[in-house]
Formats: sequence, C-alpha cells, structure tokens
Amino acid sequence: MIEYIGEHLWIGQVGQFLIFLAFCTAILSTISYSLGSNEAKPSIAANWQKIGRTAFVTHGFSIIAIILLIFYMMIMKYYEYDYVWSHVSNTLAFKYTFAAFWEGQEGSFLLWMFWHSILGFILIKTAGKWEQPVMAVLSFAQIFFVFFILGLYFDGGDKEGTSFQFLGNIYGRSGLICLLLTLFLHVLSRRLEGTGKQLLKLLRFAPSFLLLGLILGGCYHLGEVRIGGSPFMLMRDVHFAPIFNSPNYMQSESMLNGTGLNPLLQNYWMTIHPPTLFLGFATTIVPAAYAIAGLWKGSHKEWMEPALKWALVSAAILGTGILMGGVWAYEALSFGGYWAWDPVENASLVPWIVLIAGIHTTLVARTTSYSTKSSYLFYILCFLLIVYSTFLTRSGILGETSVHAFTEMGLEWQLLLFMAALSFLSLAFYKYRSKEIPTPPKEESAVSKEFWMFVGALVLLFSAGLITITTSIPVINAVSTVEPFASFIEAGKSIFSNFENTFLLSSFYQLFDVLDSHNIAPPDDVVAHHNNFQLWIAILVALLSGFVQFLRFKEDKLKTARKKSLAKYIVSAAVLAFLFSLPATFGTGLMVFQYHNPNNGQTQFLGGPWQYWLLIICAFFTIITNLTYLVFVLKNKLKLAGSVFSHLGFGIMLIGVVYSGAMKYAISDPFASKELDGILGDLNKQTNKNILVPKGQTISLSNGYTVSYTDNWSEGNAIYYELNFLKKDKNGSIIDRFTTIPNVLHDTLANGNLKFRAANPNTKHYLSEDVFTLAVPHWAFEDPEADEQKDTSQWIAKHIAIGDTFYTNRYYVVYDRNNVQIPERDDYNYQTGDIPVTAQLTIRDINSNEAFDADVLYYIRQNNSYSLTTKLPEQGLEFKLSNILPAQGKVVLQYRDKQPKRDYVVIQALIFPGIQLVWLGCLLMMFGLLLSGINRIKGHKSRQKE
Amino acid sequence: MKKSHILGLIAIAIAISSLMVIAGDASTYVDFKTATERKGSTVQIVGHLSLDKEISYKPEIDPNSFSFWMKDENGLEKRVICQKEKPAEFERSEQIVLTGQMKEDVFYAHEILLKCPSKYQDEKLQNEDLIFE
Repeated sequence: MIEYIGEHLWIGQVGQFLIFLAFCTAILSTISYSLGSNEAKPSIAANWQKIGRTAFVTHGFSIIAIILLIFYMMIMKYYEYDYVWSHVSNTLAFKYTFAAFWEGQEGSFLLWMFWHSILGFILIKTAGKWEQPVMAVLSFAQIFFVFFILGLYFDGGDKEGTSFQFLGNIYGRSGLICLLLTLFLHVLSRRLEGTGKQLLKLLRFAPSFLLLGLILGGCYHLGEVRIGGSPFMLMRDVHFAPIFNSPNYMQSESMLNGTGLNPLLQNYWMTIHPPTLFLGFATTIVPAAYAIAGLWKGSHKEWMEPALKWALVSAAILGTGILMGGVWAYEALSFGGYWAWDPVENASLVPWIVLIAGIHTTLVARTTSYSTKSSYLFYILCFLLIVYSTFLTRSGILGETSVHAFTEMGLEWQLLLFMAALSFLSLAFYKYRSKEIPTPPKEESAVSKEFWMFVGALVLLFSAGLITITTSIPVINAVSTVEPFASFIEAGKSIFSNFENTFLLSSFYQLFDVLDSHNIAPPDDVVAHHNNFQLWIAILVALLSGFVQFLRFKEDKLKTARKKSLAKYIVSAAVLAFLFSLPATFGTGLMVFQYHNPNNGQTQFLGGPWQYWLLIICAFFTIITNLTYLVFVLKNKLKLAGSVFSHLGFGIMLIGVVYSGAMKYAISDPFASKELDGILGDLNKQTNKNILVPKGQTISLSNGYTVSYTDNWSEGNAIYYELNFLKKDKNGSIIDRFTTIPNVLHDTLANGNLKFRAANPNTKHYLSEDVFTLAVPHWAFEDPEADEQKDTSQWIAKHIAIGDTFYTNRYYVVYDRNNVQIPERDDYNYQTGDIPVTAQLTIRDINSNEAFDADVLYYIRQNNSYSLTTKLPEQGLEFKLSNILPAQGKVVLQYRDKQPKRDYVVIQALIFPGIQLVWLGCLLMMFGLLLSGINRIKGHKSRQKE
Repeated sequence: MKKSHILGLIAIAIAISSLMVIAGDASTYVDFKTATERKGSTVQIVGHLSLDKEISYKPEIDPNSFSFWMKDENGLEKRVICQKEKPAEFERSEQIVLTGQMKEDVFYAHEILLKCPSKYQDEKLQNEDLIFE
C-alpha cells in the first residue's frame, strides 16, 4: 500500500460521511412521514412528525454542509479530488467558482437537492396539516437524488487498499451512522405508543443489518459496479494512470493545475441561469407532492389551494429559468438564435407547458369540481416529465442529437429506477382513489368557462406530447430493440404490410417500418418540424386565451342579451385584430400584395407565409381582448390582472417570435458560397452567412450595410475584434453607423499557437431589431497542434549597402540606415560586451505603395556573431542579417518570400427584427404568473388572520 | 354522445394523425451506399473523419464551404463538402452527423454535428511518465 504525500483526505472523508448521512436521513424521514400520514391517532402522528422533521432537517443541513465542503476544496484547489481537477484551474477567476461547482452532474444534482431542502424547510414551516404527506413525497424524491451521488462500489477492487482507522475509512463512517441511527430510533421508540412503538423496535436493528449486508457484499472497495458518482472521489480512484503509483504524484505536472471550466461557460449567465432553472425544477415537486397528498388523504379539493399557489410560483420561476437559457443562447453563445428546439431546451419546456395546463385545470376544479382528475394527473405528470428530462439530458442518450448534453455518468438505470418508482407509486395512489374523485353528474355546458379552459389544457398537453415524441427519438430507438416492444413492432409491421398501398393504413405500415429500423434520425430540419406543429398550437391557444376570459364558470346557457353583447364584442375584436394585422404584415414585408410566381411566371396576389399572418391576427386578438378585459371588466384593478398580463404577454411574444424567426436574415451576401452556389439551391440559406473581412478593408454587405475590421486587442484569454458597420440608404448617404466588439476565447498551447475555444457574439440593440455579430479569426481554422506547415521558400541573400533597394514578389525593400543602439526586442536580452547592429528597412507594396518598417538585428557576443529572424507574417516576409562586410561597406541581408498570412476574421451578421417583443412578452407572462401566485399567497394569509 | 367523448375522439384522431406526420418527417440514419441510391433527397449520415485525407477550408476563397473525407459506419469513404465554416476542434471529433444530399460522388452537407471528447486533458494525464520513481 502506498502512503501518498500531500493529499487532504479529511475533506473527502467528512464529505462522504455526510452523503451517507443524508441518504439515511432521507430514508428515515420518508418512513416516518409516511407512517405519520397513515396514523389515525393524533398523538402518535405528532411523534412521527417530530421524527420526520428531525430527520429532514438533519438531511437538509448535511446537503448544505456537503456543498460548503466542495466549495472549500474548490477554492483551496485540492486537485487530488477529481471534481476539483475537472472543473477548476489555477487561472479560473474566483467569480466563476459557482459556475464551476454546477458545471458537473454531481454539483448540479447537489444544487437541486439544496433547493429541495430549502423548499422542505419552508413546507415544514407553512404546510400545516399537509406537512406529513407532502414531506413524505419530497423526502422520497431526495432518497433518489442522494442515490445519484452516493458513490458506493461493489464487486472487485483492491481489498488491501483499505486502511482500518476509525472514521478514516468507509467502515468507520458507516459504522458511526449506523450507531447514530440505532440510538436515535431507540430513543424514539420509547416515546411512541401502539403499533408505532413495535415498528420502531424492529426498525432500530435495520441500520445494523444494512451495514452487515454492505460489508458482506464487499462493497466498500473500489469495484466494478458503481452506484452513483460521489463528488469526493479522488483522482487516483477515478483515473487509472501510471503516475498514481508514485506517492509523490501530487507534484506531477498534470496534478498542479486542473482542467478548468469550459470557456463557453465562463460568463455571468452560467452563474445565474442554473440556480434559477434548478429552483424551477425543484419547485415542480411541490404541486406534485400536494396532488399525491390529496390522493393519499382522500381530500380531493383542499389540496388545490396550496398546490395552486406553488404551481404559479413554480411556473414563474421555471419559465424565467428557461427564458434565461434562451437569452444566454442568444446573447453569449454562437448558436445564432434564442430557441433551436434542441432536446435539452425541449426537456425543460415540456414540463413547464404541462404545469401551465395543470394551473388551468386546477382553476376550473376549484370552482366547479370538473377537471379534478386532470389536475391530479397534470401536476404528477409535470414532475415525472422533469425526471424524464433529467434522464434525457444526463444519461448520454441524446449524444447524437443535442449540442449540449451533460457528459455521461452511468446513471441510466438509477434514473430509470426513479422514474419507475415515481410512476408506480403515483399510479397506485390514483388507482386507489380514482372511484372517489368527484365528478359532477352533469356535463360541462359548451358555453361555460370550465369547458373551454379544459379544451385549452388539452391543447397544451397535446403540444407537450408532440415535442416529447420528437425529442425522445433516441429513446424510441433504444426501446424498440427491447422485448416485448420489438416483437410488437414486428407484428405490427407484418400485419400492416398487407395494406402497403391502402389509404391511411399504409401510413401505419410506414410508422411500424420506421420503428423497426431501430435507427430513426430526428427530422432533417428539426426547427421547421417543430414550428409547423407548434404554430397551430399557438393559434389555438391565442384564440382560446382571447375569448375564454369573457366566459363565466358554471354558466349553462347564455341569456340573449349577454349572447348578443358577447358576440358583438368578439366579432369586433376579431375585425380589429385583422385590421391591425394588415400594417403588421404587409407594412413590414412579411406578406406582399403582389408577387411574381416563379412557377408559372404570372403575377399573383397575396404572397408570403399565410400561416404567420393568421398567427399574427390571433396574437392581436388575444392582446385586444385581454386589454379590454383589463380596462372594462377588471376596471384596471392590477392586483387581479395576473392572468391578463400572462395572456397579453403570450400574444406579444407570438408577434415577436414570428418577426424574429421568419424575418431573421443574414446581412452578408446570401449567395456568398461560390463553390456551392446552385448545387444546394436554397435548401438552407441560413448556412450561407459567413463572410471574410480582412483587417483594414471595407466589405459590402447586403441591405446597404458595409463592414470594416479595424482593430483587435487581447484581454486575458480573450481577443476582441472591433467591427465598424455603416448603413447607407439608396442614395448613398449614411443613415446609421455602429461598432460591435465580438470576442473569442482561446488557450495558449505549449508550442505558442493559440487554440480556439469559443466565439462570443456582440449584439447591437435597437428598439425595432437587433444586429447580431460574431467574428472568428483566421487562426481558429487551423489545427493548433499541427506542426508548422512545410515551408518551401528559400533564403535569398542580397549584398547591399545603405540606400540600396531590392524587389521581392510583391514588395520593394529599401535599406535605410543602421542603428547601433541597444535594441528592445522580445527575443534579445542585452549583455555587457554585446555589439548590436540593427538594419532598418522600409518595405513598400508595389501596387498600393503602402509602407511597413522592419528592424533586423545582428549582434556580436564574445567573438560569436548572431542573426535574429524578423518576421512580417502579414506580408509573408522574413529577414535576417547574416553578415557585415565592413571592407565593402555592405551587409549580407537574407530574406524569404512566403505566402502572406493575412489577418482576417470570418464574420456572421444576422438581423433579428422584433426580438424585443419576444423578451417583453415572455417577461409579461412570468410577471403575470408571479403576480397571481403572490396575490394568492397574500390572500391566504389575510384569510388566515380573519 | 357526450361532449367529452366527442372531444376524446377528436383528440385521439389528431394524435394519431400527427404521429403519422412525425413518422413521415423522421428519417433514418443511412450510410453512403444508401445515400448514393437516394441521390437528390436529404439524408442523415453518421461517420468518422478520415484524418489521413485532406481537410480543406480556405475562407479567403469561400468562407461558406469546407471539405473533408468521411468514413461511414460500414467503412465506405466519400468526400464531403459542407456548406458551413469549419467547426472548432474539427480534427479531434469522435463522430460526425451530417445532413445533406449525395450528388455525383460527393456528399453535400448543410448541417453538421460533432461529438467531441470532453476531456482531452485526460490523455495528458495518461501519458505523463513516471517521474517520481
């Protein structure tokens, strides 16, 4: 056994101990809260509650302590820990420590658990009689979350490698927990009565049996089978490299610095986006827990009040988290847009949509008791989908279809187990109570609010389903090879193969045929695919949220007067929306009255994407109706206007989405690809968006824009590129000028080359549009680790005197004068006794007469002469003064004429019209949700006071 | 018939038909052989970069196209011209997914997705010699 030097083992030991403690207390909390929920006697139930609380509070504080420990080792840069080595480096700025913490899977799970713990504390304080069942669900989920970072190993490994100091190894740590738990349960069993006492008496032996089982299972050694990845794993536990055979490995080169945080993630978005998003994820469990609690206790109405408050707050936070992701992608990443229907984006959007559907059905159910069942299902489904999206993004299954999935951690089966347990339990609860759930005997009336709100919720569910199916294609591929699905698909295929040419049935055959390939690729154009579906969803939702505001709950029939006024009202709103849409579509060029049809060469009327026109009409409809509802029905009472703001925001967002999506264009020449012009046609115009801009030159772009690349400078590991844009109108007079400064991040490699890591865009904002610019320098396209390209140019010697001139391919060179002062150069250090001579040259471009200077140094040091090479890479020239011939009054100047390396950047410049409306609309939606949530919380409190 | 039943039927009908549309939209990953058979239609191909063949991106001539050779999963190698700038760390990609069409003997791609090894530092760790014997 090797005694390693310089490790800080205590932190990992304490941390691992806390992980086990958090695991055990989560189990204990779940058990006691569950038993407490089922207990009829109040005194015993109260005792269970006490145990549950103590266990959960211990659990929560363990999680917080684990996080603090990880921060400590990250700040102290203890690189012997894999998590530190993988996410921190010596050069990483302190402000990115948080970002580094949740870059990895373990850290982000811990962040999630942290929020769950905080939510648990709040629920213990506020949930009142719902505390026991709700906390049972929360603790149950926490068991699995700790399970993901447990770090237990089975089967194999080095048994000799375990030393037997108490607390210094895993036996000691788990022994201590076992002791603590046994003691705890023993004390508690004395305080309880009845069946609880009996149960506890049995239960207190459980930790000992568990420990015995683990030891007998030999799982305390690093082995082949792993359960969960602990953030406290040592480098030598995870990586198997020869350096770990040395006790001194901490001093080796690769251990002195970590790999650091991915430069793409080094910005403030990485500091604020994950905590918001994970708080959003974490809060979705609360409405789900209330739903399960409602089923559990069989009180099908009361749970909705608190669940609704939490759902509103959760939707606001999760929505803000998703929005932040969109803004981040747009502002700081080079994806060229705010939403790309990437699986990772979809995975967080889908639960949000289902949550919104749940909020609507709950509103219905609370006043009418219709839709009670769907409220249960929506909330539970929302949390299930959150877990499913975790599975998608963290199991590595998305590898081929997503640009930003987490790296694999081997959690597949653990996540599957979690999903299976959750689905089974919630289904069991639902089945158990399904007969009791109240359903009104009478059908909803077709003019009632409850009916149309339910239809709206169905539309939302449908939208979620469509997105999920396409996102799950890699899962479908994996599942379709597993029995019994494989045989089912085969059977389906053989049945429908008989109908290959029959209308409708043939598409079933196609479906099974695609499934049977086990190799389904996502649609060729994912964005267009989703847009085509979601466009119609958006139209339906906009229409519904426009007129349903004016319907009333439990309204069986409309009285004639109301019918008339309602009809009048809706028709006039629709007409107004249509009128508004005319300038908004034809005025902006989205639609045109007359256009030239290239197919038949005739001039036709009304060209353009009519679906977008329809969408804009519907968006205006919802904006108009909601605004008038605010003014005439709510009489400007802003406190009640949460739903109005949200629906208004939805309408505004739709308009922004249409403009920024359908009318986004690149201001570089759309046919810039000379080689591919005409080959791919207009298959994908967006790809022709790059344009090369040499330094100092001005390049014409489309739409009257020109760009010039004027300057660049370095700051840390970033290089900034200054781009000057000019916009001229048709007459050539300048109507706008602006500067953008996109940058790129790089590493400097050992061979001196720069390695490109990430390009960060810079965007010029206007009220009506954004100009998004991105610059990538020439060196980013070369392999930085490749050796210098073989150079075929030869050194050519010239015997010249001061004042002489000679020509190269593109330049003429004038030998101006000699300078014998001590030169300041990076590659030269003056030593006493040196005799330096600097030949000063002027180089002029033959065509442009542009002049450059070059100083070529020759020096004598201790009777030896040295020549340094002076390089002018942009001109492709190299000079070297190889000898001085005083007798002839001449020098021997050698030069090399190479291919010039021009300084240029490849830029993208995209215009996003109306994008401000997207942000405004989304913010209004979130604000509305939050406002409703806060009002409900306040209303509840004031009612409690009364 | 109750309204909820009608609603349910409509929902099921829409669900099935959109499932059909999705199935129609979805393609399968193919190889170069199939892509050659389906000339002119857009396909998706998974493969690996051929490092021994030329990778060429000359932004001074055309910043919107670069070419390389790719081996599909059956080992068939074809030239690819991609209608994009050359992605960063292209040489180190483990796997490439292309969307595009086969024309003549060249695959023209308009979408490219790379799978890159996340930790190349790990290599360095493996290769570091035992200096503390």
